[in-house]
Amino acid sequence: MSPGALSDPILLIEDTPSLQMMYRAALARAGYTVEVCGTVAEGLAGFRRMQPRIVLLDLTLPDGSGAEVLDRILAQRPETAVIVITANASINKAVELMRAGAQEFLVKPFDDQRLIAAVHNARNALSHREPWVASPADAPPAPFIGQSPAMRDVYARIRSVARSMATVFITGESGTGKELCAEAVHAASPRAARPLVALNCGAIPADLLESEVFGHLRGSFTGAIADKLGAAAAADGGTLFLDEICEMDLNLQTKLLRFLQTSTITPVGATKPRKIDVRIVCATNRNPLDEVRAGRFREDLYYRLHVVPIHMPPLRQRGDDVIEIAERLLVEMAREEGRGFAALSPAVRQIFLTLPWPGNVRQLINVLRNVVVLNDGRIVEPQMLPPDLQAPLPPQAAAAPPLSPADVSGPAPAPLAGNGSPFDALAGRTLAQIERLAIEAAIDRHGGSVPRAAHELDVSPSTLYRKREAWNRSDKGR
Amino acid sequence: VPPELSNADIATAPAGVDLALFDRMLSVGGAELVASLAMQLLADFERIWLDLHDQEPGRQRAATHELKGVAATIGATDLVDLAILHEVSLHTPSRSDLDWQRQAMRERITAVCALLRSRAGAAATT
Repeated sequence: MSPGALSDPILLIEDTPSLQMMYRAALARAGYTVEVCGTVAEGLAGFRRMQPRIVLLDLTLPDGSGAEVLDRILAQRPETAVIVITANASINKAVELMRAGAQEFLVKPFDDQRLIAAVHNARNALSHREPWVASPADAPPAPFIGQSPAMRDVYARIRSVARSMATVFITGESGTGKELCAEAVHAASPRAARPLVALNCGAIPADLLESEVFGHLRGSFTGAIADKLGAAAAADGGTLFLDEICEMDLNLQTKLLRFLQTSTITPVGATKPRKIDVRIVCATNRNPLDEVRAGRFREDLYYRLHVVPIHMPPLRQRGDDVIEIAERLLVEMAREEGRGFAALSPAVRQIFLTLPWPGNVRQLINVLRNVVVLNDGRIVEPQMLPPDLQAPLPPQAAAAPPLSPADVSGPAPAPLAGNGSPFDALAGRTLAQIERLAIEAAIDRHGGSVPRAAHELDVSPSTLYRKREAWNRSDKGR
Repeated sequence: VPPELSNADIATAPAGVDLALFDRMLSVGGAELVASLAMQLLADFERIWLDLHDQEPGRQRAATHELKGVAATIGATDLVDLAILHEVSLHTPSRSDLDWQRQAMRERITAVCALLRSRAGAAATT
């Protein structure tokens, strides 16, 4: 078998351009295809994308250590043959890396024949191993990122429940990806070709919600100038996602219960019910049982909806996922904003791993957007982070319980005038962008609670929900 | 196949360069790639030299490490030894050795770069 018969490309993770050229050229002459990445972040992203069987890995990279990459590659796919390249000829280091699972250890200087021999040896070793077959449970369903044990449980549950018609009840703090979970359930279900209709029960005024869910006929109330197909009918054959279900008015909860019991809807103003075939997925950031106990959520509706619960873990309980998510999003945002960022520095990684992230992935996205918009470079350094992240909360504050409504009123905000005004960081932004930053910061301050943020900002929660819906639509449209 | 070394090559080679390895690594992609590889190495040496003088100690350490790797790959053995010494000096509280080490590195880098330019020129004319 000629070397070229191995059609799998080799992943080379090396940051020095001349060495990239040399290794690639030597291997290309021997018939191999090589894809090159220059940082830890790019290397891990390349590994996830290519799933190569052989990786050539430089031990010292600008944004971290090759040893970290080795660990993460082998955790994802233990059968990978990783050939470590280093200029440090320490025996201890070699033993340490071989114990960690490296296939071979190349110490500079080595010539092209030595490099090719190492790749041949790795190929031969792979041919004696059982071919690696990706377990469906190993890969996150799109667009999830992360392989923490908590998220693996979520993925497994999504795959199990997707095939059935069972109602799914998703709980989790704001920003943990409840809507993504609903989308993943729908995408993995036999209904994937039919519509997924999402409705945010907290974003729609109570008097309009019935019409939004069940539709209305022309003339059924003032302002009903035409027939309207409700969300339930629009989702016929597909999935209806009811977000912030605990915000739903009690009267409408009764109608929803009737709909779930009979699978029929009666649009406002109609006399005849209509049969609808939808799968219900709902979500809340509250504890639904607390809402039942407080009399704000019907108990019979709770038991009707709470068939298969899925709890989305907060980011602080997802271990290394925060780094994987941050680096993937960083590269995407840098491309959008015309910046050169490719990775986080080791110090920033450490900060990210210890932060409590009360706003979860949404807060992480805001932090990264802030960094990318206000700075430029290849590596994100600690001084580029927003000031409140550079001095993270002490652990006891991070673990503090949610604020009570009395706490929310809080002290008066500090004056904005004078030297070092917070306005400096806002220079060049539009009023709409500043409003978005202020609202998202308020939601983060309140652990993702929109109602509490609304209280602080002295607006209605539905105003904030509506704005967030508009931003999400705008972000998706870009 | 790397070119045969002539006596003239050996006589003009800078001290501390394994010329056989140097030419072998420059020709790993065939004759057509020698010039572009030499130019890339020149660019890398220039960037590394600037980073060695950066204000940020982490960048100085990274540049020294990178210099050690690139020099080793092309057989610039004296430069590798100097980079190892420099790496140790950067980690010790007294930085008195840094100046002479940088001066010595500058001489070796200049010699290696002259060799790279001559190889690039020769490859471009053939």
